Amino acid sequence: MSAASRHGPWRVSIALLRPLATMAVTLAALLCVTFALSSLSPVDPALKRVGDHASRAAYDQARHDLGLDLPWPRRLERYAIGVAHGDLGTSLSTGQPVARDLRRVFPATVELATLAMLLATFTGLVLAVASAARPGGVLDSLVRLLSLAGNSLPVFWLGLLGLYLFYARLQWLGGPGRLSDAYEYTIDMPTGLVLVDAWRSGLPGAFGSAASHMVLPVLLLAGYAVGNVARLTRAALLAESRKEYVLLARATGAGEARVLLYHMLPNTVGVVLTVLALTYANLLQGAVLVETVFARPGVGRYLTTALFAADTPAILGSTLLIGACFVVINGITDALVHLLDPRGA
Amino acid sequence: MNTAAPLPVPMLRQVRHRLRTLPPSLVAGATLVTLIVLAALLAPWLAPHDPLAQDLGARLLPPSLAHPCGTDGLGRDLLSRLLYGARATLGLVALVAVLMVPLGLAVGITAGYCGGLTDRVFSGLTNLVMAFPPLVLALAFVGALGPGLTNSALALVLTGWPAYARLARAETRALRHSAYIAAARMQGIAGARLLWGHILPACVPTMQIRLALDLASVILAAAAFGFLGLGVRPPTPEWGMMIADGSKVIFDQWWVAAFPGSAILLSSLAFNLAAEGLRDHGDPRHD
Repeated sequence: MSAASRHGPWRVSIALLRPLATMAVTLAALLCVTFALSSLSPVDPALKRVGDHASRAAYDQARHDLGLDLPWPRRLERYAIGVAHGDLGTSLSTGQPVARDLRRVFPATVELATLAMLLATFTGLVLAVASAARPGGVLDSLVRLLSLAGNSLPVFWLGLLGLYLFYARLQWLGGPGRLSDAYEYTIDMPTGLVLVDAWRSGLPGAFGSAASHMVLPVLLLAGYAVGNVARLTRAALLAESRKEYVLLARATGAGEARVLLYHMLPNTVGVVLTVLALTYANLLQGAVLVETVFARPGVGRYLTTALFAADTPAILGSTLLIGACFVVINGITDALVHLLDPRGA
Repeated sequence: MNTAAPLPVPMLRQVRHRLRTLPPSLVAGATLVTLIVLAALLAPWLAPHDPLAQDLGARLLPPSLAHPCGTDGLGRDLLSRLLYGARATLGLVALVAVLMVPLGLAVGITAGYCGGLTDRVFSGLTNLVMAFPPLVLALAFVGALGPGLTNSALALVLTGWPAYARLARAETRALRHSAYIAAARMQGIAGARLLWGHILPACVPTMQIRLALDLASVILAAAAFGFLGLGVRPPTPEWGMMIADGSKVIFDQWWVAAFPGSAILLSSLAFNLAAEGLRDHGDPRHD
């Protein structure tokens, strides 16, 4: 690549094009995977639709309506066109279009994961900088312990113990669900974000109820993420600390805090962004189990309910949604890292 | 390897020295893993009761001398079920390890050694699978194809192999033009023998750290499958499923969920400690 093309709009578009192309291919592959899973599933959607006692003709008609009598390339084409138009099939248990169900529950999952993410990012970065300033210190051991615990504790079990301790025994926090029963059926959910809707409802105590139900799941999800954010950022900072510019900065008389915050931290921005994106994608995934334990409506709980009911369209629809978020978050980060890197794409 | 000839050292002292120089986390992890494997193997002799025997008169009893971990909702002895439950977990872990590592190694070494188009195709595939959310995809796999031990293992293998492929490819590419591979070639070693005897051993050190880490997360994933009712079928005892049973009575009988969760924590911790120890121990090639 010539030197000129590394600058200006060219650099930007090349930096953006490659991750976008990768993203498109990955999304297409994800679509093929969910299609393959639906084809290999032993659950016969036509039989599920018409019931066990339907006539042969009704069964054949259902197979035809669902396109199951077509060869697989035609079925894949039909499936892809459907997904592109926002059609993820009909849930076998709710009887509603999966896309409509998902639109209803998705904001709650985003709300939960985003709050956990903000908490984990802030705590993780502070821990990383503080522990990198003093390798081998108390904070260093804390980061190690946190990440060891996060990788060894089953999240659904910790959630249950949290509910037992803070809700049943101490009664400090709200229990399962997203609101107390008194509000659950009286508040409209236009945005689907429970904190926002509870605030806007204007009912006294509604916001407090929503917040107290939110504390435990957010803390739990953030606790799992914070160890990894801190450990990886710390490793990146320590790797920077061995470089010559740090020595130079110290030689010019810059204090340790200044070297760490003004010289080293900005250079780890690529690593930090990647770590944060991966963490956010993992939080969306981790929400599956946390929502199930806390009985909070969201994509995760929708998926596990569908798993219990062997509701294939709902399972694959939620998988596609979470998978697409995962891929898009990582793609955007990739592009950002390229754009922010002063050395050029 | 050192070039100097090793001094003759008595065998026993060598072993003792070796044990002392091992990182404590590795020793702790390995000991825990051994204990859990023993518990699974010796379950019939260790278990005080039949894990499937129901006694509806003894439902949800708190821990006591007769039932050290209490009983569950059907009056079954929890300690016996915990011991037998280790079999389901370790069986899955073993199955995943045996399938996932060779698959990843085969793809990675082939890609790294052949280069060119093969490398592009295999690496592309590896990156593609790595871009998917592993837990959700594994859940979807088991959900669509039906619950059970085999499907759970397959789901974890299909989402877990790319990490090994990536490691093996990197190691192979680094070695491909090294002097010792050239020396092996000059002796007429080629093809599968070269890959098996000279490149594969170089991948082992990084691979075993990764495997220990992965097995810890396989235990957590297996427990999640059990918790969601996707693992082995009841009444076979399985820790995740036992937590799901316990979650129904968590507010009154905490022990029903607490003990199986501790068992999961211990076994996952065992593998994580071993991984940390292996990492601290460093690459055996350099000692």
